[in-house]
Amino acid sequence: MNFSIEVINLYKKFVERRRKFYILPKEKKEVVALNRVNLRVKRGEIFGLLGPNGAGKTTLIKILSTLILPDEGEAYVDGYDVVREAGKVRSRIGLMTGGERSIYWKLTARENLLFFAKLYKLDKKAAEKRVNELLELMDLKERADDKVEDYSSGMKMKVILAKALIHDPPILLLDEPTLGLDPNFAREIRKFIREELNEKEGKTIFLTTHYMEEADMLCDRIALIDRGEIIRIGTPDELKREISTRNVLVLETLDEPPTKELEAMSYIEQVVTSLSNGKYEIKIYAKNSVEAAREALNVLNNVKVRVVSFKVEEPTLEDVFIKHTGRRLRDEEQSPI
Amino acid sequence: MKFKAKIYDLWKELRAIWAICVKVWKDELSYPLSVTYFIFAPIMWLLPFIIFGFAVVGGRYSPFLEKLTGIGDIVTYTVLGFAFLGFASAALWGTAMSLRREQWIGTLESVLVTPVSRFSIIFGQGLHSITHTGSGLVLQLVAMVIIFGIHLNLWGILPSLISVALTILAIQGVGFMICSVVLMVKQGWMVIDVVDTVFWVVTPTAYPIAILPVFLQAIAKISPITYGVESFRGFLLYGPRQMWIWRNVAMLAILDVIYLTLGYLIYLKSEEKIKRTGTVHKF
Amino acid sequence: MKSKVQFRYVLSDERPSLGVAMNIAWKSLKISLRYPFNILYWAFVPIGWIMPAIFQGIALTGGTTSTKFASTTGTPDWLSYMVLGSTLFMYVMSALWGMGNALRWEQMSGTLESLLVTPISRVDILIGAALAETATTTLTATVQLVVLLLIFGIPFALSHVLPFIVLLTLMLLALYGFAMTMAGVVMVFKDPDALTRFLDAMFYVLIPVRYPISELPYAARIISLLIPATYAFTAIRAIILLNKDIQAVMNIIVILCVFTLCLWTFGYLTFAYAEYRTKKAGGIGKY
Repeated sequence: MNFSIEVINLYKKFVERRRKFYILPKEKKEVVALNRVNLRVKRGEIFGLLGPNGAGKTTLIKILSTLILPDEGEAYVDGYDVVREAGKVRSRIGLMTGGERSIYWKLTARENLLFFAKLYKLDKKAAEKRVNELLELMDLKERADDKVEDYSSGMKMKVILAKALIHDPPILLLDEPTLGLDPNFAREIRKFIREELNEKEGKTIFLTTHYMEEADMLCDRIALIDRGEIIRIGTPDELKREISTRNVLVLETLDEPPTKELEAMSYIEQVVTSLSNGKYEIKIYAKNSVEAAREALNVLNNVKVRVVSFKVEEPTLEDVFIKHTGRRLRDEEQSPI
Repeated sequence: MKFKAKIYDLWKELRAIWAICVKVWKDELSYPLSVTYFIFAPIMWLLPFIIFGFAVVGGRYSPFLEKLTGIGDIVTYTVLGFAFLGFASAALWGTAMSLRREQWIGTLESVLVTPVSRFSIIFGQGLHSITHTGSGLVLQLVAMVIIFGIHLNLWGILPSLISVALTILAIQGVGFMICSVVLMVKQGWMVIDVVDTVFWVVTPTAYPIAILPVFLQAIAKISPITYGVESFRGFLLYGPRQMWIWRNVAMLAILDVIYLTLGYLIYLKSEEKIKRTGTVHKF
Repeated sequence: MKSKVQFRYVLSDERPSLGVAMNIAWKSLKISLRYPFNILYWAFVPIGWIMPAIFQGIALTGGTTSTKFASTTGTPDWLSYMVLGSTLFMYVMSALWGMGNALRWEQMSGTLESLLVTPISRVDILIGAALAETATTTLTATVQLVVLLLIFGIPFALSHVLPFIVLLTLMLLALYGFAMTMAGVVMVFKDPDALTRFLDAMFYVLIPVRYPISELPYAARIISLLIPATYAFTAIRAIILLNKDIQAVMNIIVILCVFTLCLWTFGYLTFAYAEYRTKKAGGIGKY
């Protein structure tokens, strides 16, 4: 078996029933979280699932970690069926999800790790040895016997990562591992994942993220996901090469731009507009950047839109995403890179 | 001008109190099972007292109880006492837990930085508890009157509301005191439960305070609920013309002033302390 | 393409392990003990809960005995009857609140997913919670019993200890089977407090905590006989207050064993189904 993770035609739908008031009938709302998803993760690779909020990333990772049952389709982790062989799957994975609250704040780091070590059936000696190793690795030895509630966010995340590694699993499932972390610490975590866990220890890493830069710098291969569907799978370079013939013009304006008029121009292929910090950011995709720039500036000038800045960028993964979905990866949240 | 400004400020605080009360009601009504429970719970907790009374006495009448209280009917004595204490207890929990509840769900800091007085925040939650258990109290009394055939003096109903109102005020004062301890200690519900348990032991719900050991009688005598229950029961059974009932009301009014003042001062001190130690957000 | 995910696919479980359950119990106890008020609270406050009932009894009878009470229970000593009942009821509550709400607590704290992603049996999580609750309750109950024994002089002899432990263990085993069902219900419906409190109140009325079930209306008596605690309470009182030996309560021991078997089977299946439903709905981590 060459694949650590195999997902075949996975389908998951959530049904929400809500009643506005006691006597009224319940209203049903269905959301298809995963729509016939197929992907394979090779042994020893770092595989990223990149998509906006609500794309289905967490649902997929929770199915792989046996916390959610799929409606249809199959999924295998290290060759074991996530539904019928859930126990075997759980012994082969380390999961990092749920944020700071997934550990016991009233226990110390050491106590947390020893507790989980025993749940993974490590005997006393082995558990203590492993815990000491991880505390050393995570640079937590000095504070190991302080209660987690007194730790900073970064330290808590280290404990959570150590917990996922306690039984030395061959596969790690990381759900938004750098979400909410400060940029320096996020960089540290990424370096640790790449150098220590993947290159040195050879672990397979499946991570979800909505930070395109993170996926780009960390992952061997990426799957773009939107509204429950996999749009593209490939290495970051392969994906960007898809749109390498496209130039990306980025303009900032103080007034709302006429998107439809811009898209009607002959050299302009696609326009995506967003609002951030009181300014509009327009991304224009075109084969010929010079002509497209001329057209765009003419249009904006005619409708008296004030242009603040203008630049030409290399295509990014977000541009690949925009090409296939017409939407941005995220709203105006800044990446902690 | 100053006076007008003060009236306007007071109006804003009253609106905030109402808004908080409505918010807590909306939260509660989104859990229909909870609402159902709170309608039936007072009756369910009362039943063991009544059934036990029948088990040891053999009927409704106890000569020992009559000798001690002037009321021989176990059911009448217990139902009125229990209903009132249940109401007071719920008002205490509602007030005392108000800020702790916000702390638990993580919204305390957001709430404390608004210009609304923190007493309005506490009152708002307290008002919800009062309206909530007030309706429970009415339902319970109506049910008990029908099921057990309790005879009430109709002239006593309005005056009994005075007992209710004065007890609520005193409870708010006690609630403020507990609120402060709860914010600092972080094990809120236990602190309130201890105080609540003491109230349940010393309040003359199913027995007069004369039965209690001396030290408990002393606590009963400084508890506002003691006077609240006695006057409430007195009005509903004997009407408004008995002086001894009005003496209880007067005592209640004095305790109101004491507890409200103490509660206010203690709360202010404790909020200052938690702000200095930076633990507003911790739960 | 495989067919849709059915309950029978997920019914199989890891092998339960006492060591794992003890680990979970110890973790829960450690956390409880780190709340400074906990020990004092659980040791003494429950004594306060029983005092109103005792004072009521004194006010109604003028003392601590009643001939009317003797005619229905075999003993005029309503006080000892009530103290025993209240102490035992704490164990009933521990089964309801402990196991029943353990998962809910983990869910609210955010640690449930971390637990469920480990290769342990679901039974271990429940038993672990139950063990922790039993330990806390035993501490409380012992303090309560000793304090009330000293104040009121209840006739508890050393020869009563072993039969008491046997009957108490059987009662707890049966109740934990029921509590497994509760744990499942709590996992599915995100508002467990109301249900648990309702059952708590209902059990308190129906189980012979303060009075014999003969005082209840007929319909309530029938329901009472469906609760294992009713039999356990009766048997324990027969041993301690009426000085019967264990032979006299063998029929009750058999009944409790049957209850345990039925309730554990039902409880395990309903909990497994509840876990299945929650995982289908994606609600394990949500509260």
